[in-house]
Amino acid sequence: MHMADALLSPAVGVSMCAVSAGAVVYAAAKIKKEELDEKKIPVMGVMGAFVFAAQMINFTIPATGSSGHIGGGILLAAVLGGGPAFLTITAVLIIQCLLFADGGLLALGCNVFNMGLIPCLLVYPLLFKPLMGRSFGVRRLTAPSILGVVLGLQLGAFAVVVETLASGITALPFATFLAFMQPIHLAIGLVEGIVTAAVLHFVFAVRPELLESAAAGTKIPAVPMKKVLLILGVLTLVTAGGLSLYASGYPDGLEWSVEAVTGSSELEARGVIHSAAAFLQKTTALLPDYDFPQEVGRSAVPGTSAAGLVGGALTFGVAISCGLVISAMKKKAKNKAA
Amino acid sequence: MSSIQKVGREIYLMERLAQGTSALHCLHPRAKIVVTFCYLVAVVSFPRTEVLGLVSFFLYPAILIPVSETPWKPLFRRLLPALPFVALGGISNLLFDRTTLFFLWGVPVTSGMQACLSIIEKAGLSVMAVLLLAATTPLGELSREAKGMKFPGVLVDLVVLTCRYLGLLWEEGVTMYTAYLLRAPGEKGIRMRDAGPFLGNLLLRSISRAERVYRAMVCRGFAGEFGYCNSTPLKPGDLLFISAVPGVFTFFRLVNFPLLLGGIFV
Repeated sequence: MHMADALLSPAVGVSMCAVSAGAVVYAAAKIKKEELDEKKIPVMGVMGAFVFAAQMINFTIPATGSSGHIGGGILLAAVLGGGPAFLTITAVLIIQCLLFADGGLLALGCNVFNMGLIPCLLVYPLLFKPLMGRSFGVRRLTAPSILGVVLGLQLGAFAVVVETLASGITALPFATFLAFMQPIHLAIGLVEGIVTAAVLHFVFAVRPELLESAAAGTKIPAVPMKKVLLILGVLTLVTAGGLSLYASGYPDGLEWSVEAVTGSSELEARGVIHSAAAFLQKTTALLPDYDFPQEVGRSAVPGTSAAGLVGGALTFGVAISCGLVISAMKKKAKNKAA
Repeated sequence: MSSIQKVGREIYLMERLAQGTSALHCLHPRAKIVVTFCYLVAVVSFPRTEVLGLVSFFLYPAILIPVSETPWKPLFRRLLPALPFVALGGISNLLFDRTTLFFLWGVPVTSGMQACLSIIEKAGLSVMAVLLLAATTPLGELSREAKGMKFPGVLVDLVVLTCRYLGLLWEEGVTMYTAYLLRAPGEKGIRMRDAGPFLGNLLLRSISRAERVYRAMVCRGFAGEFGYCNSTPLKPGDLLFISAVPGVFTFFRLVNFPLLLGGIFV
């Protein structure tokens, strides 16, 4: 479910980075304010490494011939508490991005939101903890674990669909993309939920105090959800507002009003200043409309295509030649030195 | 099994590469972070069907990979994890966006084809840029810069610790996995009914390890937060890198260089 930079527009990427950064700063500040047990930092670090190791170890799914691995969000939240688990998953995602190229740097905000914030700061306190109740027990662990993982993955997959479509990079219709993503993640979530429940059963049987202390919040008190939801609500509104204005292919409210009055969504500008401003805007616009700028159809400038093909091949050739020449020069210099 | 061990060997590959002494390694980490970010924004800001304009951006990895003496193969190998989801986005364009834009030697070129190519180009370029940053800047230096840029200290320390313990727990996991497979020959992985106790055991071992690690850290003076040296100021070379390279990106973003070059010959 890791999103790549290639599927995001800068507006969505940067906005989601801002949302996730806000949640990280809030969780970190809250943990610091609550005077986090200093022992917890190394434990969080090792647990992050555990998630890595656990994700690499596949288990076979009966009767399907396929294999799966755990995601770790709900599992970490059950052992560490929501806030520390969120920071741990964030650290894991940063390392996956930098050292394994799994998920892009600009897409980090989206990935932290989809795989960290949703399970640890939304599903864990709003579903897992209330379902668990105050008294722990092996039987009571099963339903919250499975439901928590399934809901976390469903919401995460939905967020992926919304972020990808808001970026306007793919032509997949919303309903088709949703129909593709949600059932797959429902199946993955069920399997992952069963395994998460089994792991928590085992941990509870051997060291029950680990889960009880995390749930009671004796060492790391839970982040008050009212504030989290308020901040998330405001951030979502700001982001959604910004994104819809930026990325929607449909006319926005202003364009709709203009169209109703004038019969066209664009107002014609006249005069030298308007022409100069339009030229300046055209040449400096980093994100022009996503439409192909040329006329659609058979007559669409074959000369330009040929020039483009030749130019593209030449530029690519220049890039590769630069690399080869620099490599050769470096090798020569090394041989001389030896 | 062998694939798991292979992954284990590659965990610290980037850290090993980052210990180099090339001109790119010697640049200030902040300069490299800023330039990488500018590059990513420039690449992903291209319209969804742009193919040609992106070709100019291949110059960046093509020049910097040999300059930094980074081997090509491991970088290309690491492109693979990024591809499945990107491929889904690209192929969907082929299926759902069939507007014919022009004919090339009689073959209709659709908007979806261009969008698919564009996504693949963007994926390759953006992943290469991030890998180049990681392969030329040690994690310790990136962490120091992150602290200097007022990132939350807890998160920065967590990233460093997680990275350090990765190899340790990896070995623990591989040992358990080997032991399991030796007792269950013919199995391709952990049976689902055994996954709970297996991962639970790994988790408890991780916690025990964490407690031992914490005690060792306290013995060496750990008091809740890591200390970092102050960041060194930017040198003239760093300033030149920060100002010139994004300038080139801006030029390539605004001017379709391949089209311009092709126009000379056609």
